[in-house]
Amino acid sequence: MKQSSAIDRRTFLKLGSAGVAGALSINRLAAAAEEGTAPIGGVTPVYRTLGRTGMKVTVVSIGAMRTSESAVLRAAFDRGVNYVDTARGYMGPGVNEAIVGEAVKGIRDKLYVATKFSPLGTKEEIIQSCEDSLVSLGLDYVDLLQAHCPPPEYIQQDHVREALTQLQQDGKIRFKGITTHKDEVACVNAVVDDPEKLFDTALVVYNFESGPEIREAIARAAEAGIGIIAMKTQAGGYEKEALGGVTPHQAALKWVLADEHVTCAVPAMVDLAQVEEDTAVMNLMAMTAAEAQVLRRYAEAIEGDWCHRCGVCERACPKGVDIRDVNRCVMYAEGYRDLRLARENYARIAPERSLAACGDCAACTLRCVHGIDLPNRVARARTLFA
Amino acid sequence: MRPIAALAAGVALAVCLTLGCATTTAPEPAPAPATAQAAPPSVESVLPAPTFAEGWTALETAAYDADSLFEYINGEADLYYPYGFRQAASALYVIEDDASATSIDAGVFHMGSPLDAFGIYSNYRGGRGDRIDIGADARISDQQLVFYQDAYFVRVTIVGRHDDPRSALAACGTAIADRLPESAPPSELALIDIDGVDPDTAVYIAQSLLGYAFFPRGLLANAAEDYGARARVFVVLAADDAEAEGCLAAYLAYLDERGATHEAADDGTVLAQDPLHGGTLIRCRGPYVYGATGLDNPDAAAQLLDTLDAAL
Repeated sequence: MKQSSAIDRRTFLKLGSAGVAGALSINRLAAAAEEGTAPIGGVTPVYRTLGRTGMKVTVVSIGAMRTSESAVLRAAFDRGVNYVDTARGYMGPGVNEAIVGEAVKGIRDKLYVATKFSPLGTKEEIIQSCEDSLVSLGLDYVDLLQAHCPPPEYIQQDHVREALTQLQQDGKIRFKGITTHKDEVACVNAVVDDPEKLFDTALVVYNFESGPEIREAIARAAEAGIGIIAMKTQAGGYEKEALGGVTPHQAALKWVLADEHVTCAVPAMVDLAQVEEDTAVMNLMAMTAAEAQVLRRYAEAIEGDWCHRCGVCERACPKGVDIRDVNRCVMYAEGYRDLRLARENYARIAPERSLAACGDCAACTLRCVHGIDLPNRVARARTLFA
Repeated sequence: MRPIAALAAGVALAVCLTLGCATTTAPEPAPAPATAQAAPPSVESVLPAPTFAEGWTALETAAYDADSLFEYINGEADLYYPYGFRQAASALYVIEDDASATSIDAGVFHMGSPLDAFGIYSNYRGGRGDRIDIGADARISDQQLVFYQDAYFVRVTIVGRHDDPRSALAACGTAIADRLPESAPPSELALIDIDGVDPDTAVYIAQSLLGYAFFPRGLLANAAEDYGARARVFVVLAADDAEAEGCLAAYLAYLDERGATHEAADDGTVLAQDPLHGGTLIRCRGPYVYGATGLDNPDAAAQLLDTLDAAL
């Protein structure tokens, strides 16, 4: 026996206790889903609601199709991802589902699991396919069952609708969706135009190469309450080289998620590096969300100072003073703190529309519909531009 | 019973769903069996004759390259590219005058090498199914037959009701296998064909073995439960000695970055608590980085590594 056997069991077992860390971070998933702000595994998850399903899913979720290691999926869950997409047919019937099943073991209630069935087959075969999926996944139900790339006319077929309805009634699926690689616009529109609104979601190819037609169809679907999940977000490519701190893959994901009609993307994650790269996009988005919050607060703070230039006050002024431009000049002086710029611009206001036109008005009585204290503002302008 | 019109519509839908629009005519009768020395046969030429078994007839065939493969298998195409996918052909067979709309879809995929063909096969083999003597290795269930032979992976699926689906699948698969070059299984498989390892679980992963990008490709198989409930052996197949050393160095750097405890024995074997897989023993020799992971018992696992070492 070689020297390696000299590694003692005590050391080995001591090392083994490190595995507890992963379990701890998993337990924080549920709390973060409710709060939406707590970092998990270094990632601050960002959630959106998947249409009328009401499911709050992470904007960066995971497509498991090419993932052969359940530990990779688990690593994604450790970083806050709470939605995983698989299919009955990936890697052969039930093979990829079994990998997903292994990964969700023990944390199923904190995750959303979606799978797919082949649209070929009878009502009974669709139901059987779903039941086989549940066996492979080791689950009692899936959150979303999707018809795998059917043609647009498929969704109106009675046997499909009956099968999905029965599965839902039996508690084996929570929601129903379609996926589309071909005739995407027609498929998405068919879901939207379905009078019975049978399908809740659409998984679509969507990336920076997509044309306006699918973008419009997605917007229309989202407005109709259809949850939109994006796949092929990298347009098939996978470049690792960073460009200015963001990899092309991350930039592509951000492009997709910048469309507010898209609930989430499900990029394939083959290895840990891809998990880290993809989930980090949520940190980049979280930063944007934080910036948006700053902007919202700023907007609240300047409410009462910021002239919307609606012109309502001007129409009420008996002297015809150019209140909007006067306000703009006050903003230059007080907001920009540039008195010279303010006076230069004030000088460009025609005298008959400047404060000189106020004439014998004893006190300004104008009211601003946006809350600006106009009498006070006019008084300050008099001081500044006298 | 469905009317004939419904059958025609069902078959047309099946064609659309499985073949896309890139269809051609039915396959030609069988040529002479190919040999490993001859030029590789085209994927279209190995599709079975229009009547591979009594009652079955080919409706249409289609061919696909890397750009159009998704038309056949949708997003699943991405799984094939790391395995050197070259071309694929498919045929849809139906039973004449059958009202049940039962159909067989046969897909032949020409991969980069016999190891690649085994690799994609090993991805699909994991489901429930029984071994059957077709090609280099095959699994069959009531829905599907998968096998590989030489650099070809073949998947045959049946949809609809059939009294003996396995016989139909096997007949179709055998007809395809007869047209493929005969060759032995890839020699690399011998690397993990050792005592204490279940050969039926061996897989070849062409990208990111164990979920690590720094392990570009390699073999993986379940070890006996004595080593741990999730114990597996692995062999990273590097291009040369230098790349193998780089792989191990990258792994150690990764452990350091994650704060994962590890220590090296005098012979260079590293014992680590892998962040994804738990207890791990790993060594490097020649163009191989090899080891075992998911381990409970280090002493026994060290023996396993010695056995693995002897097979390299």
